[in-house]
Amino acid sequence: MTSVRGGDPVPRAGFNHEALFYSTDAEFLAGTVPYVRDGVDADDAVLAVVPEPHLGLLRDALGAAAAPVTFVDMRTVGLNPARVISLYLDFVDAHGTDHRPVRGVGEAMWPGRSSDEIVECQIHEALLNVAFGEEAVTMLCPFHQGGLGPSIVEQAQRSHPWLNQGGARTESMTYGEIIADAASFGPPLESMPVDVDTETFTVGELRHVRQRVAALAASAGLSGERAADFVLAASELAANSVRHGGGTGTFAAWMAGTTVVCEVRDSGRIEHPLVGRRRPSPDQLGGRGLWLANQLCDLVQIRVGETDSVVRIHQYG
Amino acid sequence: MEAVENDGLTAEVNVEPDRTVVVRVVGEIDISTVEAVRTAVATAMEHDPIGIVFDLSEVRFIDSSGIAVLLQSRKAIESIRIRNPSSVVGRLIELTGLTHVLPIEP
Repeated sequence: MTSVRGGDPVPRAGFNHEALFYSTDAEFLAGTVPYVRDGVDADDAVLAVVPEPHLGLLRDALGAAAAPVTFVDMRTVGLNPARVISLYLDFVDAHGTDHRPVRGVGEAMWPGRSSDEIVECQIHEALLNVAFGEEAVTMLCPFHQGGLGPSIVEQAQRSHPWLNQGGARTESMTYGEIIADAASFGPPLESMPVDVDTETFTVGELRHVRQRVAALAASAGLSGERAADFVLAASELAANSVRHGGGTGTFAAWMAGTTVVCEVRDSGRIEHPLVGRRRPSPDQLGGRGLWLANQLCDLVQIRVGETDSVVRIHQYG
Repeated sequence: MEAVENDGLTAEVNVEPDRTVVVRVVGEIDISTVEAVRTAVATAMEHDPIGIVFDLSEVRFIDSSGIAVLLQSRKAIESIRIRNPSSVVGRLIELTGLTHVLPIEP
């Protein structure tokens, strides 16, 4: 997959991406349980990445059929939605050798997700169509209609070629519209607070960037490891600017409530929308920065403009 | 002992009697300092070593460029070991899933 600009409304052979709209736990189970059972019966490799308490509900309802299924709590692995495709790709790669079809349940959103997180979830859903091209992968994505609001349903229709409601399966009329948008990584970010200093850096100031971010993380009371993770992510972003963004960039760091935020901007243009969403191979020497930032931070927002790129990272206090 | 210095980072090269070469890195490894580690590996290779041990106990910061130089040294010599990784080194090797590629000395 090299280009998604302009969109491609035709579902690709191999990847079957379906949204499941439900309002109650019973409807959630009515949609997911038979789907998982069918996969287990067909000896597919089955992965369920679902937030608790749905994870436990699904496991219990499956009974003995749950045994061969890999369960992962979306609230931990997918707190930053940009980590989820990497997890799916790891799973697909692990089963690629035995050529078993892969079947997944992925519920990225839950009531209570912040609006920033929901935007990144929508980008994640759109990029799933880009990440899985030829692989025999089937993905069912449950969406809680009442808890998430009507715009979420509309967006899900744009990112899923197939829609399932109350057992009826229909083709989406708007599928594909969002995929072109995802190539620019989503809507503009909220402006940073006016009183925040923006500093320019070059290769010599990487340590200064780290010191400033570390001081803010410490004042916010982040634990040692979470602070160190955040500092590493900020340093990776700044190093990317030095290497790929014209040798220089600007950075700013601030508090948003109890969250520590850092933004790095440079004149490079991030071209591939899946950047940072594929685990680098052990043979690969470079290209780890954004993947690491995704693993290290609670939320990562990438936006590409006409002349520059910006990456904003968040660590919740 | 030979030492390479770069902007607050030091990389010492010590040849042990069995021709294991220990590269001891002290400081912060990022793209502005990593060249010193690369140079130390080149120096180590001049000793025709049976293996390279990276003593990373005094590494206070390491980013993906540091991981890259460790991975790159594997292309020059098969036997690579990490000795006494500091917490940031251990964290990054584990996070990148490279524990089997960059094994920590028992």
